[in-house]
Amino acid sequence: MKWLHNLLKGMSLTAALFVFQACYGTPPGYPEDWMEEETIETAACQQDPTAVPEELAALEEPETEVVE
Amino acid sequence: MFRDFLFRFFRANETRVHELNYLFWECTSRCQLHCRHCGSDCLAAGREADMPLADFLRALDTIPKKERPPEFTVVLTGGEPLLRPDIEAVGRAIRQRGLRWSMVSNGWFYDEAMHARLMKAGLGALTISLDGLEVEHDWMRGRSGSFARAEKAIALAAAEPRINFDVVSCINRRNIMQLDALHDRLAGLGVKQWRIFTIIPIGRAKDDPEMHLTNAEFTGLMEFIRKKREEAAAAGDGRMNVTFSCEGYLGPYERKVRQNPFFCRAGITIASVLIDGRICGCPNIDRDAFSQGNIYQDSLWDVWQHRFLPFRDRHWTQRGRCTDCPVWRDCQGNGMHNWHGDCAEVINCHYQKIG
Repeated sequence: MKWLHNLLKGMSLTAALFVFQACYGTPPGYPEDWMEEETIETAACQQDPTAVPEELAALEEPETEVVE
Repeated sequence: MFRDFLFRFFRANETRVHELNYLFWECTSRCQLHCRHCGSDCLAAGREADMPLADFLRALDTIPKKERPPEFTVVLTGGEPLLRPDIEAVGRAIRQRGLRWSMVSNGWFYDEAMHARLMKAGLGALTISLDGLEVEHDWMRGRSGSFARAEKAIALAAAEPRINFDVVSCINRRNIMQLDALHDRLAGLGVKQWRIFTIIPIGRAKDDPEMHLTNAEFTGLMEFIRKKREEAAAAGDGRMNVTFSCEGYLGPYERKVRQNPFFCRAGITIASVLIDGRICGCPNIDRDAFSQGNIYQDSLWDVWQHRFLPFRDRHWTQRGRCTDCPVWRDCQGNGMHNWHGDCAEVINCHYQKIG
């Protein structure tokens, strides 16, 4: 019953039922106040984005130090 | 009782409607860490090449626009998603389709510059793992320095109001004594949501006794979460929200350690596109047993609409110790990730652990 699904979803009192995350997933979506924005700016964004870190690009298996 | 009845009705209706709103993309199998509990058994080099973005987008685009609810989210997972050099292009391509995207990361590469780049690409939610204080986390993650990097990433993300952020911790026999210390440390970093889970005996963790809590320890963990939630509710001061993950049915602790009753939504509202193109429920579900198709042969949307039957009718789980279980109608065989191989028996029963 899609109509019931939509009705429940639209009701603020039961909206919590739809707030979920998969066991190993992230919290859902975006904070409400900016989820429709197309341009995202933060204080951190004022910095000049740098290239992919060299460390990341050069990653190789032997770099891993296993902790025992 | 009436509340339970209503929730069962709600769950049954959600299953009938099966609205897809949470899509994992296992975008890489590469990882720079070597976690003891990794269900994917990831390697730095990876067994599979990263899936090209264009291949994933082709699959994503099979979902009709009118079938994408506003909260539809693509969740990037791995491996470590930040090892993809095109991670920003991935995010932008998803945003250009009007969809939200989020990411699960170990935080190693999440520094100020990366944060800025991902925010510009429209990152909406983020989860970073922290599995104990320094010694225990680094032991768990198999690489020294992991804790320091993760903690720095957590502080950065926690200070960003424009993402939904949480920390996830895998509790095991080595870190269970640190719950209070870890709680205070995360709260001190400004974290508002802390999600706790335990290990299922698959992947590397299967034969590692230090990974698996005893029944008494598991019950103690439930008590810890319940107490923290009660304290937070009583204080009403916006302190950190502690929850248990949706990994299993918890009997007497249902509604006490998380907001909503147990409901495994794999295949009901959640799907995943795995590294080799297979289509499944959550990525930690036995992909050999439960994959429903492959984006290289099938339409993701057709598969979602017409397959996934073992996910949407769980009566097949009434076997083994679930056969005569008195709580089956609420548990429905626990989370789907607790069924592996020949599926003769559920490999993990949280309800029995609590006793």
